[in-house]
Amino acid sequence: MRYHRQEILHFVGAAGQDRLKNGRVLVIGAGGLGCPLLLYLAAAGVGTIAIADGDFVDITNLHRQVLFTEDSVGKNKAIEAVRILKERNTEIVLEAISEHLSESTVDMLKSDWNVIVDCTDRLSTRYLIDQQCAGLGLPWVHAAVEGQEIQVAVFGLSLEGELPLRYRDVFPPESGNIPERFSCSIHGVIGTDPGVAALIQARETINILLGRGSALAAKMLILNLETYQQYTISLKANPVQPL
Amino acid sequence: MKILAFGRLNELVGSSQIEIDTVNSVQELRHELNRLFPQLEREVFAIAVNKVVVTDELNLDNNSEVALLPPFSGG
Repeated sequence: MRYHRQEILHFVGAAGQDRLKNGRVLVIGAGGLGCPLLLYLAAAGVGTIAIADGDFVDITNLHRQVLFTEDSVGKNKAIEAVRILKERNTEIVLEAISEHLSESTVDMLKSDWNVIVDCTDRLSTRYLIDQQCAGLGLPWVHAAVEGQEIQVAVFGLSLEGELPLRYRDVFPPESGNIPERFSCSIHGVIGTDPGVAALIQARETINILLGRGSALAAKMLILNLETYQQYTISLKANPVQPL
Repeated sequence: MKILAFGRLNELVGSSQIEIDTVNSVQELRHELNRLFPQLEREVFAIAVNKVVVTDELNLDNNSEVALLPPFSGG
């Protein structure tokens, strides 16, 4: 009964709900993107969710990292996210990884995940996700915020007759200087903006788990949250780019 | 021709939409953008023409809608 309102959708049904229950998702980052995304993936009954984050909750995070409470301040984000989500859904498996994804922790990506969700704010981490997911043949759902614009895209999902798209196909790292972070602590952000991006990520993650593919596979959605101007760009895989 | 600039690139070129004299290819466009906005030369960004990411060889015309898309990183 718990998932009745989504199960009655013709493209979900009991079989689709079973797919979500059997779904295994690794979320990289429990910040402004990760918090709202996790609330919805857990509520939808995604059966196994792991959360990787080495940061600690700061009081200035609370306006956008809506999973956390004032009592969360000072605690590791992954562990705290799992504690809170376990109270919200006791029927799913939640795992905390209290470390950032890096070259030394990259094995966390190799646990038979169905989807990786990129909720990081570090570009070096994003390139690492890209490299590893390309090697593992895994789809990953990207989102990021800059100013009042969000971008969301799905990489690594095979389309008929096309190579799976990689992030480096669109943004070759050797083509110029890439700033490591567009930090919310320096540039500022309205808390809702990463939330909007995260819910699109959550929807695409659910679509992929349901076996429905993704409308954002090999596409990048850019949405301005002040003007609501939307721009969707088709992306192309680049076979000459090395892994 | 009309150029849309997203993310931090709209700060670097001064607006989210600029007009430049028509150029014939994406390669020429990069050259012209670097001449007008030297700070762009160090930036990583994709160029989309008519909403498709393209390589430098593509020919352009006055009706081409060009967008400059940098990687966003905030989360």
